[in-house]
Amino acid sequence: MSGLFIFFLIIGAVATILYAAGYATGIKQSFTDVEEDKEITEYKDSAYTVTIALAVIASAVIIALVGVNPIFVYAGPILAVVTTFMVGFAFFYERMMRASGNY
Amino acid sequence: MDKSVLVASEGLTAGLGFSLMIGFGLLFLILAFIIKHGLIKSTHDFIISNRKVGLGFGVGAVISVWTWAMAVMMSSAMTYQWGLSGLFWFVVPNGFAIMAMVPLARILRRKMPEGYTISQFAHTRFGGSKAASIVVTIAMIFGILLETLINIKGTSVVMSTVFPIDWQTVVILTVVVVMTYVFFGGLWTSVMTGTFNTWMITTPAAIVVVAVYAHISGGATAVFEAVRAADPTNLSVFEADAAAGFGITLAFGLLAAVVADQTFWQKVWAVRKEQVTRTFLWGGALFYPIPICLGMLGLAGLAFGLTPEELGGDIVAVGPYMVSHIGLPLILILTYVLVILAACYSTIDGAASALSSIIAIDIVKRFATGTREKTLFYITRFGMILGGVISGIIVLSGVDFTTLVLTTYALKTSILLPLILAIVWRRTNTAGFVLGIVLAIVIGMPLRHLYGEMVGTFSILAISAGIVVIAGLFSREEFDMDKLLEAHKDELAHKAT
Repeated sequence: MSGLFIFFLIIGAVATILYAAGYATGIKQSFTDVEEDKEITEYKDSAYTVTIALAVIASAVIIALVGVNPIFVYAGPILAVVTTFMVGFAFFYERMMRASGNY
Repeated sequence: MDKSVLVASEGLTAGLGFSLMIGFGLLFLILAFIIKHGLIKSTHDFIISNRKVGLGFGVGAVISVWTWAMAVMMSSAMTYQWGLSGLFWFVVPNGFAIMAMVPLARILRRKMPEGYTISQFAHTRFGGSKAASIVVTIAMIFGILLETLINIKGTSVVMSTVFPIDWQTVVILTVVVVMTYVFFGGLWTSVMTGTFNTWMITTPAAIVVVAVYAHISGGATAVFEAVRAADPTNLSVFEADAAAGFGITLAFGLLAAVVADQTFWQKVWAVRKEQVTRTFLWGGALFYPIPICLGMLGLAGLAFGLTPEELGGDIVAVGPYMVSHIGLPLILILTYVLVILAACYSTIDGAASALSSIIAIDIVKRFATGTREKTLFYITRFGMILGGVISGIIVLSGVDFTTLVLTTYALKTSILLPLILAIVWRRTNTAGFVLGIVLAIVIGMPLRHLYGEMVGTFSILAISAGIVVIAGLFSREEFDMDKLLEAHKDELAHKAT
């Protein structure tokens, strides 16, 4: 096994642990939400134009970079692990929003 | 690079294939039973998840339903066929299509907080016009059928290629497995299993891709040099051929596939209202890494100079071919199969859930308003199963999907701009909406047949939007969007949240 492969196994495991913890929290929260039937009335809709533009540009740049240096072949796999991490984080992020009341 | 190192891996038995398919289904069935007992009490809960889907499940579900089995393989195939330009044109519009839902979703969730389906919106928006709502409903049903068919087909191709299993057996098993677990928990099951599947198509997929490069002598550098030596344009994202060949039309097709798809609208109304923007924003942005990651398998295929004949005549097989021929341990090959199964199952169960909402709201509640809740619940669930069975029968019959693909393409592309205008422009009226869609199909499809996909797509878009705008400018009427709020109070006898 190469060092790079082991590195991916480690970061993948870390992201997976967060994901699993988030998933379990999400299931618990869903059951509580349905039972409580509480309604959030105060929330602000975040701006989205700049975020969309940045995401589109970033994806294009990453693909272009693969053609510049072979190291960027691994950018996709690293970001895929980041997706796992961020979806796991989303469960906790929502919990933080609930705790602070700041949506 | 030396192709002789690519040898088919052994040990992929039929028993292993069946175990993966059934095991995955059993895991989801257990989850569905838990959901059924705790979260599902009525049709409302079943089709809209009590409007309580949080950010994590929302993002996970959006990513998983958008990652079709074919998309997992197409990202590799487009890279293999067009180089990085192919990957660029496949990936960039894909994530954007999801994020493009944000402004539309925000408007409808605010103006119509108790909504269920996009056809229901069309029905109310156009004063109960049957023509408007029926055309949208038909487009949604065709889209759902096509999603289901393509994913069943994709699974059967992969499973019967990797394992010695008859493809027809795979079709039957896929329908039985997915319809069984989704039958019990509806949309809740779909979002929870979908979120699990999002994990499958990210981290395990990343590990498989890295393992493939680790098994290539010289790794990424060798692949990079081999691709450059064969044709340096394959390392550029600026090749116009890919844009003209498929990129531009795909971009509009993807946009239509999201905006004119009940699978996504159902989530707009199911996700907690304060999380709708974040769900689609995060969903689109976090989707990007998946096809970029899997596209690297296509680059490896290019480096080895594989020919379509070596892939069995279908370039979509380049990803599975690389994974099963580079000498990976069995566990990693099985992981890749699970990645494709995850993509397939989540899209089919998402489509089935979307169909359940259409059956309940746009068919039963519209045409048989007095239907009792218990009856509605049964019809909704069995109707959903019927949709899955019909899709399975179509795939098994071996008929060419061309007619269905063309019809769905025509309906979705022609609906795209009129639907957006109906949401954002108050002067959009019924005559313009219906006439725009009908004329766009009647004129645009022959043009597509005669002059190709790009001319056809732009004609359909221009005609459909042009007629809506002209009709709107000629009429003085303006729709009061607040009427949407009044029209949907208590559709299924539940309080909106």
